[in-house]
Amino acid sequence: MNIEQTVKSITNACNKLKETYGTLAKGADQSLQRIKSDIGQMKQWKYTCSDPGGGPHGGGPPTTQYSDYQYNWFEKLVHGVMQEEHVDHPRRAEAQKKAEDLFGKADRYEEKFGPRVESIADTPVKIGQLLTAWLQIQNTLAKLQAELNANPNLLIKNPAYEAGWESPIAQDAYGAVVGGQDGAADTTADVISGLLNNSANFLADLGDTLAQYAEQTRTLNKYYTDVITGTIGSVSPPTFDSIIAIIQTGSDAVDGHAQMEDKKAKDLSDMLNKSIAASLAVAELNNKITRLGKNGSVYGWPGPVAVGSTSEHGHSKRADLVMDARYFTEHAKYWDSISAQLEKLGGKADGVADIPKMFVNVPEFSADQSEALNGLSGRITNNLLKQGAAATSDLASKLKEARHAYLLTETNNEALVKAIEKQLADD
Amino acid sequence: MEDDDSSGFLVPSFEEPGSNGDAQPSGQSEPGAGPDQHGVFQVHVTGDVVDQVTVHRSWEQHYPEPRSFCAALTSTILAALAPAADSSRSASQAPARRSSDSGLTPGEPERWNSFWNEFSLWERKLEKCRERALAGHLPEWQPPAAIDDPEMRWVIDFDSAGRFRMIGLAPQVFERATASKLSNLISNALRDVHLDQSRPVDPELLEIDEHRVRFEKYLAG
Repeated sequence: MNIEQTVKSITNACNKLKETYGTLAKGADQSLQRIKSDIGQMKQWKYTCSDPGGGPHGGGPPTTQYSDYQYNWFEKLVHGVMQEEHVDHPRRAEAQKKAEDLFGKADRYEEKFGPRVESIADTPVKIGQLLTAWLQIQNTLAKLQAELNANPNLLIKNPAYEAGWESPIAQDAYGAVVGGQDGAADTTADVISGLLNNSANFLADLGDTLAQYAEQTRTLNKYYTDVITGTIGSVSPPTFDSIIAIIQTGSDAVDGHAQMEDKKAKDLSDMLNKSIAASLAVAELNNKITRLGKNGSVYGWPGPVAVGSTSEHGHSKRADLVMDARYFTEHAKYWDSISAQLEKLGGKADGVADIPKMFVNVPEFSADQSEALNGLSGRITNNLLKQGAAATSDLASKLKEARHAYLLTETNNEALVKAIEKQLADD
Repeated sequence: MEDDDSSGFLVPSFEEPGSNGDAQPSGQSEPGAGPDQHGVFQVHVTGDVVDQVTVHRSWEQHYPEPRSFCAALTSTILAALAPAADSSRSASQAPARRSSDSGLTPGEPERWNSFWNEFSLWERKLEKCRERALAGHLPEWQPPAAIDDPEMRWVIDFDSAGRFRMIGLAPQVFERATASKLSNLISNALRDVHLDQSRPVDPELLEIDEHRVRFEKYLAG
């Protein structure tokens, strides 16, 4: 599965997980309404009987009996029923209280688990958004990198100068100035690629966990459905025993869900904490940035090298000197354009939102990996792309300085150098 | 009252459980065990149907009036039905579970996609089912009405969940009754009557459960 597919798959899973808990809360509410409605319909049959002793011919004072069922002719006969009434169930309030206790408990769990699940589901989505943004940056950088790599000596294609550098002094000067720039671009591309691949692997690790989180809603979801559709114990007319049985089943389901939820959160933390080092390898990517060396006091994209005069002399024909000097000018323009592109990428990378502190509602989790990913993302933005933009821009001015040094070295004639520089400026 | 059974129990000629190839579970009440402490009644059941009830000749000594006689008989029938009915019901739910062994062996990460597909279908169908129930579009089910003897000698009644609740015999039945006559009357009354007439399992819910079986299979890997 490529990165885009992983992001799509996990984002889809996260959205479905959130929907699942939303559906569960809705089901709980509907289920409570159904049970309340059933309790409201709870009635009993009240019988005034003449014969508490049992036989049809017995005597004694009248007694009152209550039944969830309407007596048939046999029961009326043996109990000596004189009067039959259908009355409100005397234990309605008790059933109501038990139902409210059950759904109060479900609400309390929902208050605890709702934000936890939101947090669990939001974070991979944010990582997915980060990856998508970086994928776009990577695509642009890849084109830039291809352009640099296609021309290893950084010779600008120009039909007028197919012969290339004629002066070894000019070539050396140019090589010294731009040294390290193409390598920095490669490293930047490598680190971005590492960030993407490692983050995608990390996301992929979450696949099972998200599925397990969804699965643990199964019992409660089925319970709410059974209550609403009347497929468990819900009889018509409802009886006290049937209502209490339904509430007890619900209470067990809610408690079971709570236990599973806590255990799953703990398992999740354990899994994540173990996988940080293995799957993210952020330190290794950071090292690559550091190994590029320092630019001023900051590690990252190296600055151009300043080139001074040397004692060597090359060719002295004015036309050749102008051609070589023009090379410096052309390359300065080229690096200006590279700088502009890096500047644009840096701006885009700056706009990538930070990943929130992961699983803030799963306290066992250290949240190290979100900080590590945010840190690496920041270093790529600042130490590579933005620093690269500054370095390549600086390179253009350094090339103009190098041109002056080169001409001076070749001609050892200030007046001629000035004349050539004026000619190039007027071109 | 006369007694035409010298051995104490009638020995009815009913088919042995399972001899007709019917795989339904059968049960039998133990004389003297359970609610009928005196061992007056012996009840043979197949599934949720009582095949035969035998009444001991000592019935009048222990249950001299209709209410206690019918209460003990009802309890004995309920006790005989309980294990058989339970296994019968669980067997009826078996098809949904059996279908889980359909050899699903997805690889990673297609497994998640398959899981989410099945899970979403299960969840959506359950939600639809709830919506239909709330809109009053699910088929209505009513518990069965009591079964009355046309001659008003007996009644068989069900609870609101559709399960056997009680059997009652009219007082005049006991006048000059023998154990044999009572056995025959009760057995004939109960013959071919399904005592578990609870709400049938909705085929739609069975179909929904198929998705559950599949997503659990995918989750297990």
